[in-house]
Amino acid sequence: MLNYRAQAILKREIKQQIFSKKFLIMTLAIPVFMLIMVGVQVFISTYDREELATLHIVNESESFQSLIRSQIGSSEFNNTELYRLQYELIAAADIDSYINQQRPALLRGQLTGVIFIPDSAREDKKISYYSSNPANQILLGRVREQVNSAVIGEYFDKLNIDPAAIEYARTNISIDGIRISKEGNTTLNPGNLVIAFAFTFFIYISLLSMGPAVMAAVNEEKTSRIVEVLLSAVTPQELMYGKIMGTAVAGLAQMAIWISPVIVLSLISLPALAMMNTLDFDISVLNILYFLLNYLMGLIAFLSIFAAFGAMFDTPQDAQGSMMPVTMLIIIPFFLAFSLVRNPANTLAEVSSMLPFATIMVMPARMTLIDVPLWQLLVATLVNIATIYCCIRGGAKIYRITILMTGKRPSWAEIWKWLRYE
Amino acid sequence: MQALEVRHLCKSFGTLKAVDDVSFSVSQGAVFGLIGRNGAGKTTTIRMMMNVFGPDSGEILYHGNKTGEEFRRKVSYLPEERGLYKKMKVIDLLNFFLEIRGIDPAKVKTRTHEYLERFSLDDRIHTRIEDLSKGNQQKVQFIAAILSDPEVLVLDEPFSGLDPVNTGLLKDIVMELKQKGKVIIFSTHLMELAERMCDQIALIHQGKLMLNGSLSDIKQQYSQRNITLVHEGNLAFLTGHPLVESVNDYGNFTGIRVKHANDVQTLLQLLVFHKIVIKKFDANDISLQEIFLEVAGDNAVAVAAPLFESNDSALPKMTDISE
Repeated sequence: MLNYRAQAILKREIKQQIFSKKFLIMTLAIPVFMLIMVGVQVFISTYDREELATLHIVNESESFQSLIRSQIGSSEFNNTELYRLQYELIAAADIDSYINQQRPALLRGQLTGVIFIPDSAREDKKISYYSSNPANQILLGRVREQVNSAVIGEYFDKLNIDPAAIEYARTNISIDGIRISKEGNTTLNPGNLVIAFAFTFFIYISLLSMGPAVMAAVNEEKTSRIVEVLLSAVTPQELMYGKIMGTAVAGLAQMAIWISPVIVLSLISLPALAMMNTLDFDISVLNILYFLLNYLMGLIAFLSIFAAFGAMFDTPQDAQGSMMPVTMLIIIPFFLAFSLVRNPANTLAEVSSMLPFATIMVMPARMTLIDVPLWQLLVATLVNIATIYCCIRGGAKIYRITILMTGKRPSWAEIWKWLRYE
Repeated sequence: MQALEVRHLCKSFGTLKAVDDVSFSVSQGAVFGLIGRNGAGKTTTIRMMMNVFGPDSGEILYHGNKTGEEFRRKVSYLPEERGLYKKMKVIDLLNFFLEIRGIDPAKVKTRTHEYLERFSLDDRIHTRIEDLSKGNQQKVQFIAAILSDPEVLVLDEPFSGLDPVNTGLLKDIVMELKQKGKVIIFSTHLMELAERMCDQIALIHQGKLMLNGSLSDIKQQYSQRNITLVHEGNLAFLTGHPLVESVNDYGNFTGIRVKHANDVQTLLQLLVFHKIVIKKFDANDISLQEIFLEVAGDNAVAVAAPLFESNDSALPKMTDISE
């Protein structure tokens, strides 16, 4: 298929792609962008939890106050050093005037909130929280937990129940997710979720950048009429295959660079990494090989479609205007792949991981999270091969017919007619 | 044997018959001019010869064999609509065009540099195409076309947009290639240039071949009964004169055609009688431009028709355009 002429085209295409500024920027910027995204998420979640707060804890009676104080004092709540607590004794009748007195500090934010725990809370478990932002769920959750513990503790103390029994009652159910695989049972590594996300994201970004790049390159050849000189030396098929293969090689190189950390870490386990629980993951070589092969096949299929679109239209703007259905073939699988992260074994995930186009993004994400039966991987590969075949054949037909055609934008009916040409 | 033969080429785009049964042949070592008005079908004919697309019917033979894969290696093409990869460097681009023709750039390095030097581009080797002037881009494209040392060189309007110095340089190189026995085909609407460079011509009008043959034969044929006149004075008295078939003012000169060959002397007497100052009176001479205007001009049918009266078999082939 690739004779010396197609090879010359391919060589030029690889050079043009790899030595372009865009390629360099994409190769470096995308991992940085991903790191920033992860970093921002981590930052937001820690920021959520650890906000500095000044609280007044108000009781009616000294006995209840000491109970609450000892409960809070022995809890993690106090150890974060992010909460400045001040205990007050106020009668229920005076609480309103106390709040009025504190109002300026509350509004200025010097005082985060006032928690009023009346003696009646022992019976009805009702307390009040005064704040300019009473919706702070994290803070409320902590307060609720501590006050409840104190009240329950006191209640059961009076009933003379064994503290061990109380402890038992208090302990919540803890679930350990255990991943069943042929090799045995392992706990599901949260790192694999990150990898599944990264795999999906990388394919998505790569298809959305490489596809339009090849489309623009084909369109440039068409509008600048270089194609005329080229076609005097090479056939349209050779030209298209050369371009697609060249871009695919460049794409594969970029992808290999992107996932190189995953490859390195899957082959050797660094002791330093074992300490970082959250980044621990479990990826096999088969996983990575399948990922790259699958990506290459998906890329070639999409590039044929994009190349045909580049040939069909007179300007890149016209081409972009009609790209919607093709872009959908990339975007929908992207969201499918994301949704299956919640439950990678559901039927939608299973079926879509073997559908044309969808499989390109869904299968790599799915096999990162669960053990996919071998037959499904084979089916997905066959589907990919069939997809490539159809896309290249159809793409080459349209390319050959339209690359020298100028004038009005082709209609979908015309495209369909061309596809059926022999 | 003719080197390149084009036989009964037809090509339609929708309802438009762009090329309609065009046949001609080109000899080895000849410069062949394909002339015609804009939209006549020259470029379509060339594109079919270049395999850019196939004809609806007809065939192209090179040394008696149908052109195919082998022909692609031997032919080079400079299209009318110039295009180059803007982001590539001059040397990379030239090497790429060699590679698609299966030639190792390293082996023709000397030739590459010779041509770049001749076109004063040797200091721009590593310049990106987009940073070159339009004229320089055109020179690069011409070098790209001839660098592979093709047996057949097809140039579509090669001189458009070039200054006189570069036009001269290009012409010199074309003539050198002719000396080397290459087949050179170029299309142009610059009749003066075609007249100076071409050995053979084919004139295409509205998709049909109107004239084909050696330039000297064609000129001889058309120059009969034709007088090229440079004069001062009013020639109005000639219009409708029983001796005269047509009078055409071409600005610098006037072309007059008389009805019978022996009327030439009478015409000269007539001019003297009417006190016309004659600066040049050239009997049996015609410029290619006149032939072109006769055959493909707006009044082509009226003027060309009487010429078919002659049944001389040595006449260039002509097609009736009165349909």
